Amino acid sequence: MRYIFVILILAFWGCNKVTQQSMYVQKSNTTLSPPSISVDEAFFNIQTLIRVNDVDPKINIRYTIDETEPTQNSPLAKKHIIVSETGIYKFKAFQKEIKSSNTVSIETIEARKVNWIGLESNDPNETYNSGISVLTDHKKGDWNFRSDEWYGYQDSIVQFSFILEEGEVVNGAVVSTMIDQNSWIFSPENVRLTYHFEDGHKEKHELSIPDCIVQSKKQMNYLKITTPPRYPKKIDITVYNMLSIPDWHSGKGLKPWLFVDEILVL
Amino acid sequence: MDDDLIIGHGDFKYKVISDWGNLDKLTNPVTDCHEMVQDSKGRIILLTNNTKNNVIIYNKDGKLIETWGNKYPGAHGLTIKNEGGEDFLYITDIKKSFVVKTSLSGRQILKINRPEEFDTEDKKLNFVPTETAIAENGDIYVADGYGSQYIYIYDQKGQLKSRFGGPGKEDGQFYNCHGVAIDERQGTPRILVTAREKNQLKYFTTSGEFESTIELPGAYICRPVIRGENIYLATIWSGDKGDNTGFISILDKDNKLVSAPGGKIPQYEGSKLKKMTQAYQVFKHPHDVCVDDDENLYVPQWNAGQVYPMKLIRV
Repeated sequence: MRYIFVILILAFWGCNKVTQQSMYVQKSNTTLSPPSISVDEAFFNIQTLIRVNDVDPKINIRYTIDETEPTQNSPLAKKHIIVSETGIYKFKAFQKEIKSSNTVSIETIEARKVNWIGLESNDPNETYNSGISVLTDHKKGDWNFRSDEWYGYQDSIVQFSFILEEGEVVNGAVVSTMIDQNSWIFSPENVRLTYHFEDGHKEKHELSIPDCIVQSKKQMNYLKITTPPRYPKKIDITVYNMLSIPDWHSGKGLKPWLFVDEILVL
Repeated sequence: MDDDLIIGHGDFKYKVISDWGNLDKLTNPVTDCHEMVQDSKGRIILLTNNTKNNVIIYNKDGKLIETWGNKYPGAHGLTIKNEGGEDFLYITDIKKSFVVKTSLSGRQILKINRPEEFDTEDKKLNFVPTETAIAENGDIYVADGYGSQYIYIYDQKGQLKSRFGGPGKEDGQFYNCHGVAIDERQGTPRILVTAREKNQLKYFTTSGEFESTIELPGAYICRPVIRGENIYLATIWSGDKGDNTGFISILDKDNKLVSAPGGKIPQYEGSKLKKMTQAYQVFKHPHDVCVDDDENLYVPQWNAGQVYPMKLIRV
């Protein structure tokens, strides 16, 4: 009898606790959104600034520069970070009582201004043609592919050719693109870098991207080929797009888009 | 309670009820919850593109009152207008490409189809209306947000009067004129149109002459909702247009962003708003905001896992 009485008391207490549960979303069940981070020049010559745009004093932004995930013990990100080397910076937001955010990665590439005397490319789609100079202005485009920083193609093969000044050393190239599969913008499947030398011979380097057909989150996509130092008179950077959008996508069978905002000669 | 999450800034802060309006998903399912309004009786009306019940009518506590509608697979825009003491609904359908005016019980009163006068010999006009706004004289402004990028002006009988806007980069042009409203806060009515991909709102005269732009960087806006001296906006994507983003924006009488429930603290450099991003993962693609007579908010969401709307209680 005594046990039954105790159980009834506990049951009543338990029910009473349930009725005190809040009807509102709780902090402990909430996740922070990723921090807002921007970089002045993702492709920089001497140095650039990464800016931390969040100002909420309740939120701490922590970061790493060794490609590991930031933790509560990682350094606090100040308002800006001076960058003078190629690298990947990772940022994460933390707030007491709230789950930490996903990680934001910022990639910076040290890229000198190579002296070239000629640049040619296929004509982009006329809607996304802001002039070929955007490909070498060292300005990173934002996520708005309609902005003046992007060149948009639906061609299967796109080629960029640089004629270089005599004696210019080249260590490779980067094609800066984006992936936004909801907007039918995919990674290409292959990039080829061809050096043409004064004596007529050629040297080819390739980057294959087999993952281009799989589902991917929206991201900036740097397609980088590095080589030993070379002194070509001309370089061709040839981008091979998928012939059609994969079957899992609503645009299956149609031509995917390639968006390029910069070609870096390293 | 101390653990309750509070979102928003300044005078516009809210607690969030995430399970407001939850119903039996078998008998009263929703797909995308697109828009919500409050009628003269204080009831909350939701429009969803689920043809089992396109219109779901709740009381403010989220209790189901009634449902109707199974003919609107592309149900998208919902506007309410009291005309002569009676409430009427204006619904746009983006799959069937029409606008209908109905009574509160669903009786169709007027239908506006694709304006064929703009067809050319080799191309039919792409008409995918996303929103309506109704003027005091009965004129119906139809935003063709997923179609031709024009705002079409019809009279109250559905006769086309004119159009303005169109696609492009110029001040008076759009990439996705998703929403439209009539702003009478300063006396003279002005047409306020969403330029979603540009992260802007644009003012026009009632006859369609461009006047000015409000810049809201980082906010991919659905429609402006004007209540009292404020404008409320659902932002379906925010920041860099990432998946599962979005927040609510509240502008003051001078169209300055004063609160962003779910978003980060608004920051201005001079008169220029810095790019806004999401602060907490509370919303997934909010598509509209309904402000009730208690100044609480209701937020229907697009592509959010077929969830029912959220209610935000002002604190």
